[in-house]
Amino acid sequence: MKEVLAMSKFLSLLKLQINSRFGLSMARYNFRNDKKELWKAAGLTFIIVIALGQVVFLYSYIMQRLYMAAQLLNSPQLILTMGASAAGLLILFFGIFYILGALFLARDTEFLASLPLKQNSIFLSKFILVLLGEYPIALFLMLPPVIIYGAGAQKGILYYITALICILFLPIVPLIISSLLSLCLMHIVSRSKRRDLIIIVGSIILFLALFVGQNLLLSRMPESGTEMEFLLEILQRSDGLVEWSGRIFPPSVWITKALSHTGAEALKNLGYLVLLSVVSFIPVWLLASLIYQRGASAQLEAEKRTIKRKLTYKGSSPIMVIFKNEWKMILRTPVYALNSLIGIIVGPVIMAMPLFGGSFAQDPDLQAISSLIDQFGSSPAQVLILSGILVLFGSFNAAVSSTYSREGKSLWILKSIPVKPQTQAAGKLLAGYSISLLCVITTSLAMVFALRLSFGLWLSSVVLSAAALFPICLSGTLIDLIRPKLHWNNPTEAIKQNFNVVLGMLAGVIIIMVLVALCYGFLQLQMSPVFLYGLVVLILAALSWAGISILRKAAVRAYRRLEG
Amino acid sequence: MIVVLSIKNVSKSYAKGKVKAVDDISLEVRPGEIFGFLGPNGAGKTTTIKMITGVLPIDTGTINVNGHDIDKDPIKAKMSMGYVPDTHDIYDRLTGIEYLNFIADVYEVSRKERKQNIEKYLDMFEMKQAAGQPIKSYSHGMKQKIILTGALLHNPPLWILDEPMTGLDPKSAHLMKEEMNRHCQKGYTVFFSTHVLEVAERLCHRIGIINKGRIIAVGTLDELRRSGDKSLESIFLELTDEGSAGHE
Repeated sequence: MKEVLAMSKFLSLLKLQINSRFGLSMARYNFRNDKKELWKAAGLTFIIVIALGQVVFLYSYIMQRLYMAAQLLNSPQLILTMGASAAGLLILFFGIFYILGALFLARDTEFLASLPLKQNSIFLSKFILVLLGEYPIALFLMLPPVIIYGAGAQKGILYYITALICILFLPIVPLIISSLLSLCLMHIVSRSKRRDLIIIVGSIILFLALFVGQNLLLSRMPESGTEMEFLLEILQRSDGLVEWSGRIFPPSVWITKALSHTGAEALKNLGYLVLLSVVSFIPVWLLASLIYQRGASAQLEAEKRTIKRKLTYKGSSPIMVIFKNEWKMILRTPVYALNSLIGIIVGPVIMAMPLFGGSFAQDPDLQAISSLIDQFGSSPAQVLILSGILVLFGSFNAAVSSTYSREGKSLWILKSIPVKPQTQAAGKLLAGYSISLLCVITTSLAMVFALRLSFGLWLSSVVLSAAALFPICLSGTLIDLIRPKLHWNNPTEAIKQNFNVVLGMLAGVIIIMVLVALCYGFLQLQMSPVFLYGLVVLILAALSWAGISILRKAAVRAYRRLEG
Repeated sequence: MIVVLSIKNVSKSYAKGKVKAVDDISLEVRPGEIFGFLGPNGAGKTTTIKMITGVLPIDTGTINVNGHDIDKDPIKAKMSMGYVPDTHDIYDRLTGIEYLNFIADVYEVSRKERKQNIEKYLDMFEMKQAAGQPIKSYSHGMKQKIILTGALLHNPPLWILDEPMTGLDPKSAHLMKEEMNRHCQKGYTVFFSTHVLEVAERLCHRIGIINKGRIIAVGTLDELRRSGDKSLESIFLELTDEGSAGHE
C-alpha cells in the first residue's frame, strides 16, 4: 500500500513536471481560447520544420555518402556507430549543464523541497524530464542512419522496433554519467563559500576533462606494429571498424550490433545496452537519495560574503549600465555563464587539442585546415578561410539570442526604467557581441600556437571576423527581441531550451553562407587584397547599419507589446 | 505539554559560519494557537521558516513538527504542515486546478476530501472561474490565493505562512484572517511572519520577535507589554531598537 502511494505521488510529480516543462496545459488552453496564439505557434512550428528540415537533409546526405563509403569497406553498419556515438557524446558533454540546470538551479527547487516527497523521487522526475528533452537530439542523429541502413539492408519491422528501443536507451548512460558528476560537484559546492563560482569553474573543468579524456582515448594508437598492420587487422575482423570507431562511446557498438546482426547476437547486444542503462542508474539513484537535497538546498542559501571592497557610487552611461548588467547577470548565474561562455573555451580547446592528444601530425582535422591555409600562401583566401572558421566559432553564442528571454518575469524592470528601448537593445547587443569577440580572440590565439600563424594573418582574420560577427549578433538579438521566451521555471529553459538560440545560430549560418558565396565570387574576380577586404567590410557595415535600424524600431514596438 | 512545533537551539550561518542568520533560537508553539513571528527586515524570519519547512538544512539544533524531526523524518514532518511562501513562483504554465490536484496528490488527500476542500476554498476566494485558466494569467493576489488553497487542502495541523498579507485585496485578507481563526478553532496551529503589526496585534495569541538572528521576546501581547498599555508597535520598536539588517 505504501509503495502504491509513493508511486502515485511520484507519477503525479512527473506529470506536473512534464506538463509544466512542455507547456501542455498552456497549449490546450490556447487551443480552446486563444486562436491567435495557436496560429503563432503553428507559424513557428512551420519555421522550425523548414529550418531544421535543411539541417536534417544535409545530415542525411552526409550519412548517405558515408554509407556508400562504408559499403566499400564492407562495414555499411558503420553509420549506425557514427550516429550513436555522435548522439551519445553530445548528450554526455552538454548533459552536465542540462542536469545541473534541472536538478539544482531550477526555480521550483524551493517549492519541491517543502513538499512531502522523497529526494530520490524528485531526482528521478527531474532525470526523466532531462531525458525527454534529449530525445530530439537522439532522434535527429539516429533516425537518418537507421533509415539509410535499414533501407539499404532491406530490414524488416523488427529492425525498426529494435532501433526504437536503442534510441530510447541511448541517452540514459551519458545522462547517468552527467548526473553522477553533477551530484558530486554539487555536494562539494554545498560545502563551499563561493558556490556560484565553483559551479561555473567546476562544470567547465568537468566538461574539459570529458572532452580531453575522450580525445586522449581516440588518439591512442596500437602499442606494437605499424599503423598499416593495425588498420589491416581492423578491416579483416568482422565489426572491426565498428568496434574501433565505437570505442569513443562503447554503447554505440552494442547499438550497431543489435541493429546489424540478427537472432541471439542482436538480442545479446540489446541486452547489454538495456542492462548497463538500468544497472548503472541504481547507484546514482541511491547516491541521490543521500546527497541530492543537500546540494539543491545549497542553491537556496544566499551567498553571504563580507565584501571587503569599498562601495563605489560611480555612474555609467545608460548603454554601459545595460552592458554591465548583462555581464553581471551572466557571470552570476551559473547556467547562463556555462552556456554563454562555453564557446570561449571550446574553440581554443579544439584548436589546441593536438597539444593534449599527441603530435600535430596525428590530428586529421587540424592537418586539413593547415594544408588548406598553406595551399593559398599569404593570399586573401587564407585570411578569409581563417576568418570564416573564427566567425563560425564566434557565432555559436547562446547569450545573444536569449538576451531578452533571460529577463523572464523581470522584464518589467527594463520596461519601467527611464532608458529608451533602443538604448537597452544596443547595450544588450554589445554585451552579446563582446562574448563573440572574446571567443574569436581566444580561438585565434590558440590557432596561432596550433597552426603557427603570422601576426599579420592573425590580426587581419580577427578584424574581419569581428566585422562579420556584428550583423550575426544583431540578427540573434533581433530574433529574441521579437519573440522572447519569458515564461520559464528553470533558467536553463531560457537559454538552453530556447528555440531562439537555435534560430539565432541558423541565422548566423545563413549569413556566413552568403558571405562565403560573396567572398568566393570576389576571389574569382582576382581583386587586389586591400580592395577585397574593403569591399567585404563595406558590405558588412551596410548590413549592420540596416540591422541596427531594424533593431531600433523592433525594440520600440516590442516594449509596447511584451508582458513580463 | 503538547507542542506542535518545537525549535531547539537552532542555528544557521552562511559563509562558513561568518554570518549568523539564525543564532541559537528555541521556541515552542502549541496546538490551537496563532503564533505571530515578527522582526525587522533581515532578522532571520524567512530563514527560520525555511528551516521549519525543510527547505533549508539546519546547521545545529533540532526542529520537530507534530513530533517528527524535520531532519530525520522529513516526509512525516512535511505531511503535518501546509506552507505558504513569501514568493509566488509556482508553475506558471499549469492551470490553477492542475496545481491544486498535484498538491492534493502529494499530501495524499482523498478524492472526496479534495473535491470538498478545493470547492470550499475556490468559492471562498472567488477563484472558481479562474481555476481552469493557466496560472500565468493570474494576478499576484490570485496566485497567492491558489497557494493558500493548496496549503489548506490536507487540513494541516501546522499552517505556516511567510508574509501572507502581501498582495491580497482587503476582502481576501479578511477572509484569510477568518480562516486562520477557524483553523485554530479546530485545534490546529497557525504560524506566520508579518510586518503588519496591527494584524499580529489583533490576530495572534502569542508573538515571537526575532532580531539579528536571535529571539528577543516571546509571549502573549500582555506578557510583552510587561507594564503599561503600550502598542505592539512601541514594543517592537523598543525591542528592535538597535535594528540593522543582514541576516535573512
